[in-house]
Amino acid sequence: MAGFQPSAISHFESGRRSPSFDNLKRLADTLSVTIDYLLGRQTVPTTAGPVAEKLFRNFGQMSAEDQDDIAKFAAILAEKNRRRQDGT
Amino acid sequence: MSEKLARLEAENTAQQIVQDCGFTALPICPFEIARRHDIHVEAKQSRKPGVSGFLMRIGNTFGIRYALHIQNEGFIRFTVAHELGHYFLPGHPERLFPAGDGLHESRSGFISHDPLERQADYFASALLMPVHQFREAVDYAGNGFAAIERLARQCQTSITATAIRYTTFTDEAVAVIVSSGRQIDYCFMSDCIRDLRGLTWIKKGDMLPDGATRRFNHDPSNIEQARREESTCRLDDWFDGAPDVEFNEDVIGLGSYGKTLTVLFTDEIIGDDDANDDD
Repeated sequence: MAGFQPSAISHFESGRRSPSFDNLKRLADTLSVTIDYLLGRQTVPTTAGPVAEKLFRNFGQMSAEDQDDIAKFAAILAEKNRRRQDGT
Repeated sequence: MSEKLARLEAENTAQQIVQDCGFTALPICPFEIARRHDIHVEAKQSRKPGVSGFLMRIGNTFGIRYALHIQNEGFIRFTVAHELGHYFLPGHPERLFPAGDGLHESRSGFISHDPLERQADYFASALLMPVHQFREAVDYAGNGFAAIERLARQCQTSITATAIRYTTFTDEAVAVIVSSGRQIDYCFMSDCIRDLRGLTWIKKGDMLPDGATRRFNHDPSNIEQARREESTCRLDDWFDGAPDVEFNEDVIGLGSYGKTLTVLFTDEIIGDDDANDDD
């Protein structure tokens, strides 16, 4: 599944091996669920990702310009994510 | 995880990606790797100093934003490769975003105190200068600063990142030192120098010895304008306990990075037979 050996998925489940984001994305896309669902951070498999106020680690310590840039980039990715979910 | 294992994991992961993407020759393009993995990559709009790059996740969608405040193609490619490291390296998701946050930012600089950042740096270096292709290139590159420049052009990497990687693969006696003012920031040595008996390794914060680099750093415009100078020194000027051998001392200012790179190298065979017998 998703190019993984069954033993690799079993290792992820048991915590013996830690997945990368690339592993998580491939699994999530194959199973049509969100990465947050795989990580146990959501109970519903297909809802959107983390809410805006939780997004930004160290956000308060960044310059105003960086904060503005990050917000703009988040909007671009959110739109791309929406299109992926809609299949458009 | 030990530093050695973390490096091995980064090296292996990078090598696998280069192979999976079908790259057989230099340079390796991090933008192409991102594109193939559906990672959206864009430059920051502002050129003011700040975060050098970040990896962001929104749902199942990933993006990398990189800064333009250091006008160096090698630096930009390294930044993108570093963020790809956070994406591809096992274990980074739960350690970077333990509470489910969706952003991880990185700041420029070659030596980080954070083990995850160091691993991502090592990944970037291994991705842009992969073992097989880079080793072969080193064999044909010659020696000293000219070799590093040639390799940097081939790999489209910064002089500093290339110099550091070069010390890992060359069979020659080479030391790469980055300094600012009168102090040493860090030093990388090839195995040939590391294996010398009785040699005291340079530490961060050590003072520069009297010589070409120290004189060069005395004038900040040398660094700003990326001037270069070729000189000679004795190896024991730099390393206590080293043999008294003449070395070339090539010095170059690193421009907006604000530091100086020194490459010490020699054509002479150094070391002794006893040291080799230990192997």
